[in-house]
Amino acid sequence: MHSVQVEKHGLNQYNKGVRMVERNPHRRRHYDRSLIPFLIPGSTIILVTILALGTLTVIQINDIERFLRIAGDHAVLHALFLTIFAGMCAVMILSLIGTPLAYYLARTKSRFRGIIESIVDIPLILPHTVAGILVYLLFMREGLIGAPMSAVGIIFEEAFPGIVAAMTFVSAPFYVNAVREGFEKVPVHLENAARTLGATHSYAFVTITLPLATREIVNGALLAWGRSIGEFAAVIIIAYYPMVISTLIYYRFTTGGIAEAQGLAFLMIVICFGIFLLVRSVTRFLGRYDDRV
Amino acid sequence: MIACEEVTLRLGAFSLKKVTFSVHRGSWCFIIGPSGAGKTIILEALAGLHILSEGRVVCNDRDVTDLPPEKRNMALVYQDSTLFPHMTVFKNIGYGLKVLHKTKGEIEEIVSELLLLLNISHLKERYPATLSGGEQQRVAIARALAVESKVLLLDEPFSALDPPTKKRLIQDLQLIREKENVTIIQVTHSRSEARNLADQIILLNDGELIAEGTKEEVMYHPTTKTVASFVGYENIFDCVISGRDGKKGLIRLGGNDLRIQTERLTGEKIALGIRSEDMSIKGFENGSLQNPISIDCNVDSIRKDGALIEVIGSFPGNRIHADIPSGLIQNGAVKQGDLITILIPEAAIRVLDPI
Repeated sequence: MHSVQVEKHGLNQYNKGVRMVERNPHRRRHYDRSLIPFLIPGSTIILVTILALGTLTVIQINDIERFLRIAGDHAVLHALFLTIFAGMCAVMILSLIGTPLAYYLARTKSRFRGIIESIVDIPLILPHTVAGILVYLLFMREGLIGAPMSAVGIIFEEAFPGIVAAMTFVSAPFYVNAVREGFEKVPVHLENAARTLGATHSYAFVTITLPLATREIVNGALLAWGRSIGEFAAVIIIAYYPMVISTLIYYRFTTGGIAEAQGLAFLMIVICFGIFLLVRSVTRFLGRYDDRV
Repeated sequence: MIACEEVTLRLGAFSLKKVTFSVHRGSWCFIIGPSGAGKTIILEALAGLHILSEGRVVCNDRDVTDLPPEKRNMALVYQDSTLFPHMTVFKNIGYGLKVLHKTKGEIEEIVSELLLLLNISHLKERYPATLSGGEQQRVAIARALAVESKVLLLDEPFSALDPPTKKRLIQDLQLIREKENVTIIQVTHSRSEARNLADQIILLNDGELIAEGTKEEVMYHPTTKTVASFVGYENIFDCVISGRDGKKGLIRLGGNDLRIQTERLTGEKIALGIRSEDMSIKGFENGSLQNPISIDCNVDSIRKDGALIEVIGSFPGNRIHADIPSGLIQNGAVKQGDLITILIPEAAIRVLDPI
């Protein structure tokens, strides 16, 4: 009885202590000062980005009428919608074909793993014009893929499917690598346990691995989408028309000068930043689990 | 009956080499051996998680070598909990039942029964991260039992548990084994676990099976030096049969002349294995010993360890380790530097092959 009272007393004191700390307005905030030397050189990157964005923003605010006119332009809206939608299509294709590849790479012990990973990374190291040429060679009307596809009525040259093909090609490594890392973080023992409980490999993948890697999959999709909508060189080689936003910005820059192009660039930044923020906040709690097991 | 027949498996630099053993239905079999011996891999091979290079796995007279894990009905419980962190305890236990397309009502009924059996009903809606090590292991075992696995493959399930939780879990497993006639194949590092619970023991070393048999055969009647040293023979002395006297072999061991019952021939190299707890000190023995063998030695160190006094002594070319019940020696009666005579009942001495 005595010990119970002591324990209760102790617990109350502890709780009071916690409340007191929470209410204390003079509570010291603890910053890890040892991290500052790392932040100083790194802040250059942040500073340059903020300066560039700030300069662009100030110019647009000073000439808000011109910006509003550009933002309301039918061709601009069409290019924006086309870019965002084509990027989404590329991500959708990647989620269907890139997810299984990422899982294979995460789990295989094959000696060919390194070679496959290098092939996946090829678009990362190539100049984007070269990536565009590769896509064009494959998807043109006489290409290995383009020829049979054109036989069933799907044309890639100067068409929406061409844009999606170029975007998919250049963004594939971003998606596959991010998702592969996500799968690698899921212990293979969880799948093994599931399989000895009667689950097939595919069922274990869908019910265990996929949910536990959701965050990385969403991050990979966001990265790939960001890469897709920013693509220019690879896209114009296979499809100058219909114009994606980066092609339109280049066109306006060469025909109307920097004043025309910067308004478009600002619009693009605002929209992309908004979409990124929205997706990140919606998916913030996705696949987050406590893995202290 | 579950049997491994010449199972050979290569995983990187490690390989299992022609491992052959069989486990009787309903028995509790322990796989023991040093770290890196291949204990977990043999469990995974039984479960179907590795493709064998050679050999086969037989379960109830059926060759299951080519069956995937989901078709073998052998549930594997790892050392570290492999509970699904995104599912509640209820969903974890019901996972296998869902795979088997059981109805919601059936799942509810079976899971509730298991929660009750393992005394974890209060954890039903909790997530694995909020459970203690013992609770996590109980949930993992309940999950394995839910799919009516007739074989439980346990990879050091008690290693992270405190003694009371471990005792409780062992009682649970004993109850389940009797009730469901489940065969348990368990990997352990603990000799005492194997000594107390095993019906059968398999000893692996560097991917090879070096001993297999009942607890008595492996733990108390080892035939080689390697097996003896692993199953708790702290004293192993290399020696040679110097002559024979009827049924006894004559051995000269560091200045001591020993007469041991053995059929080994003169000149044959052998090893003698003696457990430290089978030794007594002359003058402090517990009752009278039958045909004791005596070894004279100097006391190097003496240390009280709970209910035992650990005496380390030496005689020419050898060290000897004796654990004497502390009640038999008064404080200070045996000191460092004393010359003492260690007595060993002849029956406690194992004649071993020196390999």
